Amino acid sequence: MIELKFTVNSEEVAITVAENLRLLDILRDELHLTGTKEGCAVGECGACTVILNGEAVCSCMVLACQVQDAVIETIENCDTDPVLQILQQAFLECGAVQCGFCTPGMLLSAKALLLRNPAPTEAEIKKALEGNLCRCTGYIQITEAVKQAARELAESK
Amino acid sequence: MKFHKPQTLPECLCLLGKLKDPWLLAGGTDINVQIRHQLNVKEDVVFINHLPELNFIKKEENSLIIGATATIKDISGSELIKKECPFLADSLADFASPLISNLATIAGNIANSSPTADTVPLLLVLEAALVLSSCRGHRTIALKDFYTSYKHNVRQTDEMITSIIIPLLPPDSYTAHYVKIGSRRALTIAKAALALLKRQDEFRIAAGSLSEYPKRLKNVEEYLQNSKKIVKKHLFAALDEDVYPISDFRSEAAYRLQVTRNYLLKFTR
Repeated sequence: MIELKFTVNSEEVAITVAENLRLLDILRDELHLTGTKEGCAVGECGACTVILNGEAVCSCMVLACQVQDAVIETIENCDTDPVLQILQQAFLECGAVQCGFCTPGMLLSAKALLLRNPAPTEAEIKKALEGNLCRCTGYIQITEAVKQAARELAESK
Repeated sequence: MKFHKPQTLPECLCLLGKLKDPWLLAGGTDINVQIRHQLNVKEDVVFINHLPELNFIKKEENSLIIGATATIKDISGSELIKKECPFLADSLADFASPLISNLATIAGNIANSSPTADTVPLLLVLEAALVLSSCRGHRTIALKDFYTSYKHNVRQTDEMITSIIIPLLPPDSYTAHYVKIGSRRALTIAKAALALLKRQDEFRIAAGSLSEYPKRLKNVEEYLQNSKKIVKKHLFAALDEDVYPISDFRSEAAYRLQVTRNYLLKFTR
């Protein structure tokens, strides 16, 4: 077992967990933050994307020990975070959500992109989201939604 | 399985001397999948990603020195590498999705010793060297001498790669090409990969996924260096002596060979 301290969605967490748990398991099973989804579990689908220390990563690829003192953001931060809220609204308006399983990961990859690049080109959006697979929408609406969110964020500043 | 988290590099090296063939876990993008699926599981896992001594990218005299735990994203986004070795920064754009590139480390990609490791053909044409450290001391070996057979290398179980040294060439003194051929552009594992660096009359060519480990194509290099005019038949004969493509679940040997021939011609034209 390992004693972990880290921050999730601006709240400090102290928890003792088995060392072989993945960040994905800690979020879903220990902290009951089930907005983060498990898809492939081998780092190929992006359904489990979270933002770890400012970078979007697959939470299935991160072991307990690797999150000591980390700052983590999950889709549940949508309750209070204006960037995620604008992205969520843009996804709804553009029809970028069908079954919704990939959407939490899409929103977090998109947020990580917009944090470092507030005015991304279409190519930059595609590159940033290439690790997030969607089997419903065909991606055009998703790319449009990120563009719309970037415009709205620029206007709101 | 026992997990260890040494707090300093000397403590880590001392620990490696005591354990029997542990896993060194940095980004975890290869090992975490194996742990999950209980493949080749080892008794001990040593975390190294948090060690500050291993996370750096710097220039010293005429070399770039990259710490073991620099991620692919650190390297492709590094202003120093973009300036001093744009070929490396640009070529890593095809490595994997950002979700993986943000975690995966350069030493992990090398040490995992996959025939299809994306960084290795690039580092081979840049004539990179590895610093291997243990509690017994440090040694530097050329990357071309690191691999011995499929998934095997010369690293002793008490050693770890601590840094990668890339001798710098003035970026305008050479031309370089890299291609990674997969089923698609993004998120793919290479069916074949080819890196070529040409500097005056010198050719450096390396291939991935065409042999049991990535390697320099010595016969092809020699042929190109000594030929005023490239004759396809002779170039392909040299290639046949350098690579041993196989058919597996990812591709066919014949396809791998043909696509490599095509890119070799394209890059040398």
